[in-house]
Parts: sequence; C-alpha cells; structure tokens
Amino acid sequence: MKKLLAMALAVVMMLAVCVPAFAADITTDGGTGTAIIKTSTQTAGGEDGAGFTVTIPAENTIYWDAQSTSLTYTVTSQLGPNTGVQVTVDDTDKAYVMTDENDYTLAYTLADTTGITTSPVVNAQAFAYTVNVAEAAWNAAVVSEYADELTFTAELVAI
Amino acid sequence: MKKILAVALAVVMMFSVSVLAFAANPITQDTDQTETIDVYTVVDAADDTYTVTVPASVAIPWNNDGASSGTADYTVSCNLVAGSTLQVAAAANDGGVMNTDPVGDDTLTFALTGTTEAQSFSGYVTSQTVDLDATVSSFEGVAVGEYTGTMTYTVTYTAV
Amino acid sequence: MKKVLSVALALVMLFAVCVPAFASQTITQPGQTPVDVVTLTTDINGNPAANFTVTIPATVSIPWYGTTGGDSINWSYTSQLNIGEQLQISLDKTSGNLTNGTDNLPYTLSGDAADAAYVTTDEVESANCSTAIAVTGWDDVPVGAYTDTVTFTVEVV
Repeated sequence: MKKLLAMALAVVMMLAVCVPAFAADITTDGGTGTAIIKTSTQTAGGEDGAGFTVTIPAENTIYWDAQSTSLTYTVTSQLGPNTGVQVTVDDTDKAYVMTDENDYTLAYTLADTTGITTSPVVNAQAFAYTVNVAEAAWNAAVVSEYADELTFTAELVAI
Repeated sequence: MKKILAVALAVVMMFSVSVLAFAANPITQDTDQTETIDVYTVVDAADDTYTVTVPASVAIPWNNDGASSGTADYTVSCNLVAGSTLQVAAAANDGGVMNTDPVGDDTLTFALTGTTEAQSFSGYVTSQTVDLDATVSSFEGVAVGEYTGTMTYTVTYTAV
Repeated sequence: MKKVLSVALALVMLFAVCVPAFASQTITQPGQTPVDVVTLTTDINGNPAANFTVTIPATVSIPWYGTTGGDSINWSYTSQLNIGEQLQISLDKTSGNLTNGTDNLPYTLSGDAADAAYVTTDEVESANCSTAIAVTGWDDVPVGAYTDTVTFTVEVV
C-alpha cells in the first residue's frame, strides 16, 4: 500500500506542473502526504510580477561655458534571475546640436551613454551620462537657451 | 431340576397357545390352514418429537458501502403424529435496534429478511432449513464497533 | 508423557472440529429463544471497517506578492473510525523558506494543523480545513518560481 501511495504521489507531483488541480489522499494510520507551495511570476491581478522603472529628471541643466556636464538617471527593477536593465541615451535625431528659439545652434557630444544594472533587484541605482560642449563652441554661440531632445532606451539583458 | 424346568416351559407354551386361541380362530389341524390377523401400531401425541436448530448468535459483517446481512437460518426436524403441528416464527426484538456496550450515542437497526413469515410443519420432516437473514441496511454515519440487538425464535407445538 | 500429550492434542483437534457445532443451539420444547444479533468490526472480506481519507492539494500556487485576502493550503478529511478513536493531523513545519535554489522567500504557516496538531472530535466526521501561508520579502528577490514542500502526517489516536 505504501509503495502504491508513493507512486501515486510522484505521478501527482509531475502532473502538477501542467494541471495544479490534483490532490493527494492519505488513508493509512501514520501515512504522510506533501503539498508543494509554489510562487507564480504573475500577480493576483494577472500582471507580470517582474518590472523596472527608469526615472529621468524633468530638468537637465547645462550651465553656460560648462564643457562637461554630468547628468543622471536612476533605475529600479525587480526582474527574473540573471536579468538586468540596459539604458542607452542618445540624441533623438542624432544631429547632436542644441538649438534655441531663433534656430541658433550649439554642438555637443555625449559620453557614457550606456548603463546596465548590476542585479535583477535594484532600488534607484544611479547612472550618469555626460554632455560635452567644446570651449570653441561656447565662444561662438549666441548667449541663449539651447535645448535638444534625448532618447532613453531601456531593454532587458542577461547579466 | 430339569424335569421341573421342562414342565414349566411346557406350561408356559400352553398358556402362550391359549392366548392365541383367545385372539383368533384357532388352528387345530396339522394340515395347512391360514388365518389372517391385523397388526396395529398404537401411537399418540406423546410420541411426537421435534428439534429446531437455531444459531447461537448472528454475526453481521460491517459494510461501509451499503447493506450487510448475517445468516439466521433455522433447521427443523420432526416426527409428529397425524394432526399434530409445529410452528416456528422469528422476529426482531425492539424493532431491531442495536446498541454498543456500554450504550453510546450511535445505534444501528437490523431487519429480518428472507422467509420471515411463520412456518408450519407436520408429519415426518428431515432437516428442513428455512432461509432467514438479519440485515442492516446502512452503516453510514456510525462509529465502527460491535452493536448488539436481539431476535427471538418462537416454537409452538400443537398436539393432535 | 508423550501419550498424555498426544491424547491432549487429539482432544484439542476434536474440539476444533466441533467448533462449528457449538455455533447453533437446539430447541426441543415449545417456547421463545432469544438470539443475539451482533455487528462485526470487519467487512465481509475480513478487512477492518474503520476508514478515513485526508485530502491535501498536490500544489499550492501563490501569485507574486500574494493574494489580497491571503493564501492558504485548503485540505479536507472524512472519517468513520472505531468507537473512541480520533484522527490527528500534523505538519512537519510552521515556517520555512520558498527557494529558487539561490534566493529565499521566508514564509510562516498558521491555522489548522499549524498552531497545533488538528484532532477530530468525533469518530464519524468530515470537514474542510485551511492552513494560512504568509510570505514576506517579495521585493528583495528576483521574480521567479520559489518552492517548498509541507508534509502532512495523519495518525489514528
């Protein structure tokens, strides 16, 4: 009877991967049975439990004559094992030119444009990228407020 | 001594012969002569005998899935003079209620099934068995144990 | 001594043969004869009639972050035992770790059979039971499948 019971439980555990509806019956004095407690990767609302957030400051200021300005963003994530977030910063139109309301331009370059989280679970891990404006570009520019649009691209990568 | 014995025997034989002479036509000739006499066996109800064999107890196996029965057959043998009768009846006592000892919260009930009506017998009967069972129809909801009830066999004899 | 022993054995065997004959009684006079009707504690095949079934789920799935109303192991039992017997259901642990082999999610158990061994109150009884599972540390580990086993033991006491 015990062997039959053990076999039945083994079968039930295998099938549990497919259909978690089977149960085990204990019918003998001193008999045992096991229930496997298992987490799902989905929340009770059916959403994926894994996720991340890249937080970018609304204002990113470059002061006049600053040849190198470090700007930051943060990443918070809770992902599956061995999974991280890679964030890439780039000029949306790839012209690398800031413009003002009168269409005056100010050239710049970007550095440290890629950041990768170091763990599947991070809380506000900070990353910095650099906006470089050459001294000559500053000296040739009309004093004004120049701006450009940067695109942050986040993707999941193996870590 | 021998002569006395012989005479005594002769006297006895003479009386024996005399008895026959009182009862039927005597045969007095040494030629063949036959006479018929009737021989009767004389019996009355005092000679009636019977035996009814019943179980010492009736055991009913437990059944978690439905009804269960125990054998309560009885067997009759009798030798009764014409006109005498024997009747055997069986009945469950107290409606067939069965209790544990000591009495607990649960009870069971049995009923007699099979040939439950009283049976009559007469004349010469050899080991005639009457089919009878004690049946519990359901063991559901009752703690497992030895529950005891009682049935009664009633034998009624009527002499001719 | 041997002759005495063999005679005794012969007598025992004779009585053994005669046992079925002792199971009946003869009536030779009119009147009433009461006979006991008794249930056995075994079935028609000689197997013990007392029985029980405790049913536990093979797997308990907990959504990530848990269920709003709480998660639990829902199990049930039905019993029809011998007079005076009870079922006792116990667990092998009241707390543990769900693990993916690397990271752990601590959990505790409470309620039926966890706070104390669950003991039935009647020989004939059936009920649905619930053992609550409380998992903590959801934010501290990578999202994935974390598992542990809980073993139920059933005894007749």
